[in-house]
Amino acid sequence: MRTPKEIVNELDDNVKTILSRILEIEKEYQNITELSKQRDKEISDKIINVIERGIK
Amino acid sequence: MKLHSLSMQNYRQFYGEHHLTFSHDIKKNVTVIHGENGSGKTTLLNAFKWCFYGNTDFDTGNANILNEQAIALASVEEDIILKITVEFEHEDRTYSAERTQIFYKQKVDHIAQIGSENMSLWINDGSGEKRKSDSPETHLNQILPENMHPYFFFNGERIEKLASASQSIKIQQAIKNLMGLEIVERASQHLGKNVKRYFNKKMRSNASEDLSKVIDGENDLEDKLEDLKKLREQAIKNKAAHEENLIHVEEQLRNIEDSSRSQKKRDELSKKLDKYKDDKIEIFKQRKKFISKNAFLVFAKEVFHKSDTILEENRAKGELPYKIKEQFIDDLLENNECICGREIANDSPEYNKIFSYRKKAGNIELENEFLFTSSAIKQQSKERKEFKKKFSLFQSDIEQLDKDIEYTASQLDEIGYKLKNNNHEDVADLEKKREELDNTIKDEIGKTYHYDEEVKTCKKTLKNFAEQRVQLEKQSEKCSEYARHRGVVDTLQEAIDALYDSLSNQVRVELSEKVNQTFKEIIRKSYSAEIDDSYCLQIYKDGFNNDRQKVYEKSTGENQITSLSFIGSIINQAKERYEQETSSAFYKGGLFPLVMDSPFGALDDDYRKKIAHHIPKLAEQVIIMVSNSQWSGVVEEQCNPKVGKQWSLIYHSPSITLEEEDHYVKSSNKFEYTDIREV
Repeated sequence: MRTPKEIVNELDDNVKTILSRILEIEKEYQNITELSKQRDKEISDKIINVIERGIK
Repeated sequence: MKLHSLSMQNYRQFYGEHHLTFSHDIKKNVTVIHGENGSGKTTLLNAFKWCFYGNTDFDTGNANILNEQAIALASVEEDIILKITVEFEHEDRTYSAERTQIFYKQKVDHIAQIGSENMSLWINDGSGEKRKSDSPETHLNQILPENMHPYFFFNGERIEKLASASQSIKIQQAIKNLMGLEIVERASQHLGKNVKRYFNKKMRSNASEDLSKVIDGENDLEDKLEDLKKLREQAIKNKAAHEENLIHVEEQLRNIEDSSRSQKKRDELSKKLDKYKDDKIEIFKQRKKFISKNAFLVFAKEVFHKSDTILEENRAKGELPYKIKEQFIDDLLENNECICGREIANDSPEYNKIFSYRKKAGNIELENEFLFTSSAIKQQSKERKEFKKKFSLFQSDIEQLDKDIEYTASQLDEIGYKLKNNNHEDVADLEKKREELDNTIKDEIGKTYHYDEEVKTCKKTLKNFAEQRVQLEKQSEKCSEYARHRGVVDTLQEAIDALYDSLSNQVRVELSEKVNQTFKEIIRKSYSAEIDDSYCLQIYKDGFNNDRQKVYEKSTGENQITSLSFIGSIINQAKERYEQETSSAFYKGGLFPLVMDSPFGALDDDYRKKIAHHIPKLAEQVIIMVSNSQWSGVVEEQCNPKVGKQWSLIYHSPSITLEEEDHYVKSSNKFEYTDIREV
């Protein structure tokens, strides 16, 4: 099994940045046990924004 | 998190107001709460749970948590308050968590709840001013996540279950929580659903008819995949829940005199059956390995046969092995001397005659190859016979195990049949329930397998769609930007899924090592513990040359020790993560108390002593609830130097006579209740 470091290192630099930003976004909501549909959409919108800005 | 105090008002058997404080001194980090059976030790454990999260582990749920005496003594139309407050400190702040439920006595025999429970959390950051949290439940979950609660506040009488296979889902969940892997899981879900959908929609608005069809197909399949994942998850949860119920039903059968012997026999046979099944899997693995290493012997039989025939033909013709060696001719010619001793002049007819033999003489390398190949072919033939022999041995072992499995299963069926037709109505009912649960578990396993297969097919089709989409995207310039985004989403999701698997495995391995370390310090036998790759807590008997065998016959005490080792390791891991806060871990860990109800139940004196020695070291703060018999002797001896506070639960009941009274049990006139006194 590949190590987390190997998995991340195989990605392009901009994808790496997007990935870490996505995990940061998810971390903001980490302590909410059950995510509502509204929260799900809020998080997804943030992720879409990160991808759109990260990949031109 | 360090607990300072617990206050209760009209909660279960604690009538009126009660207040307990806990030792949070590092040197004397143990608080002991003494109480006999039924005095309210488990109730105290649940007081924390109700205050923090609004739920309890009582069989009746939250239905009977209001004190009966308070109900009886209240006047009609009077309000009764149920309240629990926990004061604690966490990361240089002190907190006061309070949950209240108001009841109203409508009639003599009717109590109504007024509104819903109210939870509040007050925070004091040291400035002296207290502020109220706007979202107390979320705030509290940030301090101690609800799903981690069972590992820090646990019931020792139930803890042994952790070591059973049905708990693997809980162990996996604990690992997920400990590592903060929910965020990785959620990231994958968000990417796979809303984010992918968004870019698909954007692409579709600029897509050709063919591309639109492919995108729609992908969307439908993604939906199906999501549904399948949910169904699979549900089937696994259902299976675990049914398995817990099954354990409970079997426990009941074990406790009824009419069925006890049969149930114990069933326990024994079930372990045997598990062993046979595991042995069969192991033999299959060994056979597979053996076949992949040696099966060429069978398939290459024809080639070997042909080679042997060619060599034999040459041997028969006298061409191989060579009668005259090349080196021998060279020596004669070089020395100009025949074997009979006559001189041979260069270029003489004799010299040329001998030289002509050189062409017929054999090359030494070829000769060696001939000898090697001949003997290798003979060896292969022997090995082929050996292969057949060994293969038949595997087959006969498998056949024997199949017979054992069938025989044991039939014995189990017989027990089931007898119990189902038992004259004792409860036994027959319980057995019917057990059979139903057993069948439902099998159904859920079948469903999981079916969903797995469907997921595989879906993923395969999705891959085809993705390939088609990439081809069609190239034909449409308008789509290219969104197609790039969509491609990145796929890459990200793939990486995140791989990260999830890798991180879970990493924590599993780390935790497993810790569990084993603690376990080995306590256990007397040469056993080792492991969280295997199916997330089951297993015990192995250590043998020579790193050989080990799975232990099927575990005593309740051994199960308790395994589970305690697991919990100790979780707390330790959380502590380590807290101390390495700057690392890239997703979850920062934490310092948590260990609140244990009856942790010494099924242990003998030696194990009690070892556990008592280890417990104060497991966490920064330890609260132990014990009966007098569990405490006195070795446990008291080991724990005493670390004990900072002690409380007694004094149980009062009208059914206790004056003669039966002792320090922990008193008679009462009318009501059953418990008092708390500091020792």
